[in-house]
Amino acid sequence: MMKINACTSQYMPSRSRTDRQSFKAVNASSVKKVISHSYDRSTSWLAFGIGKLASFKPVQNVIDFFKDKNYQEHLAAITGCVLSGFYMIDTAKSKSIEKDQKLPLILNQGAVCAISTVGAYTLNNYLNKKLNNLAETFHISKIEDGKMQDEFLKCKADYSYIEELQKRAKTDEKLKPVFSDLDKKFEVTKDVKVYVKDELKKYKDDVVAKQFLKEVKKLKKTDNKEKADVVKEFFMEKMKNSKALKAAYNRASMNNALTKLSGMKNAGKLPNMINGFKTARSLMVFALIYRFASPVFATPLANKVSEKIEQRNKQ
Amino acid sequence: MKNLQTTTVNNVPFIQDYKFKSKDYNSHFGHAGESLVPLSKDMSGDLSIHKCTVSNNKFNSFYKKTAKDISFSGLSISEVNKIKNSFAWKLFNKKWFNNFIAKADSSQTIFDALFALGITCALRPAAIMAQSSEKTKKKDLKAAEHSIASGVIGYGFAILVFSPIKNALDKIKKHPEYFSKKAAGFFKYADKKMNKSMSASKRMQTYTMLFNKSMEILVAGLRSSLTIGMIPYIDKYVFGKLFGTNNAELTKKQLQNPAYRYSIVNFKNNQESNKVFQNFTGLMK
Repeated sequence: MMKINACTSQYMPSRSRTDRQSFKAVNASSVKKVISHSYDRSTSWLAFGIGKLASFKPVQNVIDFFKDKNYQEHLAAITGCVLSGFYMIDTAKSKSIEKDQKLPLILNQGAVCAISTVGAYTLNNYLNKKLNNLAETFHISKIEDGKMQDEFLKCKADYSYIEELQKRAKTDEKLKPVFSDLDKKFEVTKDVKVYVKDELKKYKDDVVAKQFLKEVKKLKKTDNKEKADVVKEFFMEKMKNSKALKAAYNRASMNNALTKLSGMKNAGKLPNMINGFKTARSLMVFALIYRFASPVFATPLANKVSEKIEQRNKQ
Repeated sequence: MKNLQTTTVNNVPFIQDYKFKSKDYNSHFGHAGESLVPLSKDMSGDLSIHKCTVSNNKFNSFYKKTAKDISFSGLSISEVNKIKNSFAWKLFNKKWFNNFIAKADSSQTIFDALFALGITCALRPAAIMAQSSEKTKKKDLKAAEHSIASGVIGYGFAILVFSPIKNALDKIKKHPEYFSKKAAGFFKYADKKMNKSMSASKRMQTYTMLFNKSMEILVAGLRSSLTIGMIPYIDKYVFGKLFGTNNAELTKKQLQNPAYRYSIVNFKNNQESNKVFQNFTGLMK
């Protein structure tokens, strides 16, 4: 009995138990504090380093070079190619692979890399066209101002609504910075051509739009004007008689207005989400191709082809 | 009226079905609204509710549901509501989806590793096992295990190495004047001085992506050697105990042969090591 008592007095009393617990808690939190403090300091130093790196002119030039390009997909492709380049170098350096086997192995790796890259670009471009609608809906869903979001939703539902918004923008201070001067921003890009094709599904009898798509390829720059200007003028002229072109123009204007909105001071997270969506799409497509399709489907195929070639050589 | 009452009460599901169907067709909306309101009003007026075979509560909920639907169906569903009711719109407003997309903006490498985790842990093992036959089942199981292991190691590595980088970049975005005195102007006044928030600046977004991706390329060698080095141990201590597929010694021996590395880095290791092409199985881990 005494023994039990001794035991209980040591471990069981509620007071000492709580004391011990609180002591433990303090200990754990202080360790956590030290860790988080040192982590915070180290990331700060890292931030200084990364910030310093950005102050060099060549780095800034590189950033400006990539800024307005579709760098997301290119970077994903470069990473993939560099990695397979490493493997090729490894193969070349390897001592345990026989010399006459090295070249075909390297060529095989290179071929799979090339096929994957071409496949990834093709799939990405295809998805870019197909996911235009989804991307627009996503961008609108991320507008933080509720009223502005409603206006854009109405635009998305019926592209011609943007004409009314442009009229209202002349007097409405809130709409003015977003919906004014959209005519100047309009350019006949690849996307606009995709919009025209989309609209042609609705307006199947629109001969003018079909004619535009055919003739736009033949246009060349003149002495006074750049090609983009010539194409734009041609588009505007044809638009007068075509519903599909008009709808495509309005859709492009809506997207330009979205870009304008994302560049404004009170845009919140909209620009980050637009960038995130674009990046996520490219990275996911390239990862699917390089990490899944390539090893699962392309490589066994490449192996079979190589085996056959080898057999033929032997014969 | 009694007939009407019995049909309505006994066939509540039928009416609900009808309403549900009518939701899909715009033209039926007005009709559905008209037919249901007087019906329920008559029920509460002419016949006392306890006469009904359904309980009071059920009746109330039924009544409430109709009221709700009427308020919806009174308006013709416009294109705007169609968008708002679409699966995509609901998905885009989910928190996890936004966090996922935000990751792609703030740290591409972690996003990449997260997505690769999904591929290597679910898609690829599934594809391997789908292709496998009885003869190669053991080897394929091993390959699937390696795929999972490489994905988990890759994700862990990305979290360890790239979260400090992400935090550092976030710090620059929050306090550019402090952390990047000389470049603050360069980042902030991109896009014709329109952006106020640093993270929204196009130049900063580009720099984030460039920095992350170039770091990824720089540490790629370390990452792959770490993956290859750790796989035997994962074999031994995790999968060996889980599935009893332990042959770590054999793996270690084969690791000496770089050609084998490619098969580990990828997923198939079921080829004999003598043949030229059979060891090579793809690009990335």
